Amino acid sequence: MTTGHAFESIEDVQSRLGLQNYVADRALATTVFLSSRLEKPLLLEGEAGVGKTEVARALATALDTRLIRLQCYEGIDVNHAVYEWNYARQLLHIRAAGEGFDEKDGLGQIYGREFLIRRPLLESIDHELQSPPVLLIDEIDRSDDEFEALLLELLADFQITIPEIGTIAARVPPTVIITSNRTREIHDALKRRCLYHWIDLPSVEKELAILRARAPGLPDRLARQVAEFMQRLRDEDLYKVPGIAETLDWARALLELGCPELDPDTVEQTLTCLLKHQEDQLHVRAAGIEAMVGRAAGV
Amino acid sequence: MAAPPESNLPPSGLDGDSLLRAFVEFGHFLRGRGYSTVQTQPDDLVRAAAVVGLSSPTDFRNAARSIFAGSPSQFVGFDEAFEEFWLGRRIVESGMPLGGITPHPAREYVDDEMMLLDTGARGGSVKEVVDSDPSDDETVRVAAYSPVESLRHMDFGYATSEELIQIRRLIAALRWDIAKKRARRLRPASRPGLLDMRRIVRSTLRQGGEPARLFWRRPKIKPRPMVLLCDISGSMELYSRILITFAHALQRGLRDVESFVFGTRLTRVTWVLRDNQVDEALRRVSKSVVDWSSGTRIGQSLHQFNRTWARRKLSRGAVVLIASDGWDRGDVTVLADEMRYLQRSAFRLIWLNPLLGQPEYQPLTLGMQAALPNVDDFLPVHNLASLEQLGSLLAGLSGSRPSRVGGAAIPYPAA
Repeated sequence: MTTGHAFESIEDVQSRLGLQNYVADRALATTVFLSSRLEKPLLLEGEAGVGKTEVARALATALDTRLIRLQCYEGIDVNHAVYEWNYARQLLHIRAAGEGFDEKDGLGQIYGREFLIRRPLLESIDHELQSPPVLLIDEIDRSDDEFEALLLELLADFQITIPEIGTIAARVPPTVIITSNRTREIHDALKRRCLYHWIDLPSVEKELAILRARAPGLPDRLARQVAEFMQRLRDEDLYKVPGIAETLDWARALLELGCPELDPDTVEQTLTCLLKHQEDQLHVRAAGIEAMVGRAAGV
Repeated sequence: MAAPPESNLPPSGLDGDSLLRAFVEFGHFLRGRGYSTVQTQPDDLVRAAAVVGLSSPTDFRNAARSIFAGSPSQFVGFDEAFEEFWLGRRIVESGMPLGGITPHPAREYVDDEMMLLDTGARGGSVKEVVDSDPSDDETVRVAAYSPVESLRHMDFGYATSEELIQIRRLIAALRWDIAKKRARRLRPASRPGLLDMRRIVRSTLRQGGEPARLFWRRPKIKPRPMVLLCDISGSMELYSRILITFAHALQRGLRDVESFVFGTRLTRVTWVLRDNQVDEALRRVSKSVVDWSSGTRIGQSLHQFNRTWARRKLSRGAVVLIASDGWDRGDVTVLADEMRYLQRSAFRLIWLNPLLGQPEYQPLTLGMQAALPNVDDFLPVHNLASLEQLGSLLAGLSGSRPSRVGGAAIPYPAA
């Protein structure tokens, strides 16, 4: 690195993510590049399994830094996401001081940093790392709106306010990736603080590139058939359209089975890797696996 | 969508100042297209332009997209908007100056509560006694009015237009309440629950080190979300307008309601109902929905709902209401399949049928027969009294899903 920036150029982003076996198209690489240069969080939306979380993982490795992950869920709050006081230790400290404990003095003592338990968000701005970490706020749509409000300060200024201590600001802001499966709408205020990117389901070429990168043992001919089959499968009317994660699971299953090329029987047996709803499996069986395999293999 | 031509967009000859102005205009242009833009975005775009440069239109467009887009549709539709704006810019560049730009104020935030005041419900000649105890939300149930008794039992389908006006006022005045669910977030509580260590430590400090008093936290309580799917096909003609009024009232009375209408296909009308007074909302719904009063394909419509909305709207214990007479011209096996899926996804699935109000009615249509095994409750929705009945059901829902083993828990006796 010569400029002190994390990435030199859009191409640099693309090639370094590529080294981590993450296939990023130019649009995504541009957004990641901008996110790093403008120091803005990146909000990634897309169907489940299109590789949103993987972006953060690959970025952390590419930047040779730590990935700090916060998995969101309904009810997540400041104690789980930002910090909590070490109550047991505080109580022990008060007890140990006994009669000599002065309330005025003591406040400063037991609300010091050594009594603080750092949760992912605090850790991401208050760290001892060489280079700023990658903070992944995963599946934010699972949290409640109250939690989004909590994030605003962090995402706008990369700082966190703890009433007893004050404001803690990041020396160097972390790279922030937020993912959402769109089970609910994210509030505008939060979106405005982020760059936005929608990761679509992949094209044949992209999926093939991903298969080559992620399932290297897969014979090329089979990989092509898998990619083609996936396109056709996604055209079917399904409750849950399989993502890249499913493709990779399936490819690994095919590899384990030593399957030289796609045939209807194997597809039939391994369909559960791709379709997790019984209705979808029934639908695809009724639609005719043989014909789909035939078309995919004929390419 | 075809890739936009690689033209020299944006005009690269502009200096920084006019560039910013062009970007601000671009922001305004996008706002006209439904993007919610703020003043910082043009600034960001200037910074982005400095970083990615203007030499590659594609990179610049991608950069602009990541700054302005906020949803998949905006993301996908961005190229077109971008192209349209910057193509126009070139003409400006060659001739006229970019022109004075008056900075827009930040978009005014319309307070939902203000819009909830439905004037139609307040004035008018109908003497209604509105239960005047809004302070105690827990106890206010739906029966918070006492309309003219005959109107209460008047079948919507047989009411005169005069009566319908009154009925609609009364519907707008109904107060809705839906059973609460336990949320995952915690709030301070006076009764024992989980220990609130933060407060305990603070009080211990004051007590000189003796944890003398315990403090508690308990989960917050939230109203259940609700989804209303309303049949507006030809056979429902007598009822559909009243049902839209009902949907409108529900949305105003409860916090989290999504409304859809369907005939041959499904249309989401939540925003139309949210942003407009009831008459305007009705007008807009009938305008935006193409298959108003046409045939019904309930199965197909539910299919559409299950594919597109179910995972997004039913993940948090939602109550689903379907208002339909069950006349299905589509494939009833599709209907049965989709009902099965819908019931599994919903906390409670309630079918409202206006015909059920007629004493001689039996749910014998193929559609109704296909749907009933996967319905939790089967209720009439033909007069105000039936809406009250629905209201008390919603307010009193128990905290667990109904048992669905061995058939549905349908209160309606099998014919």
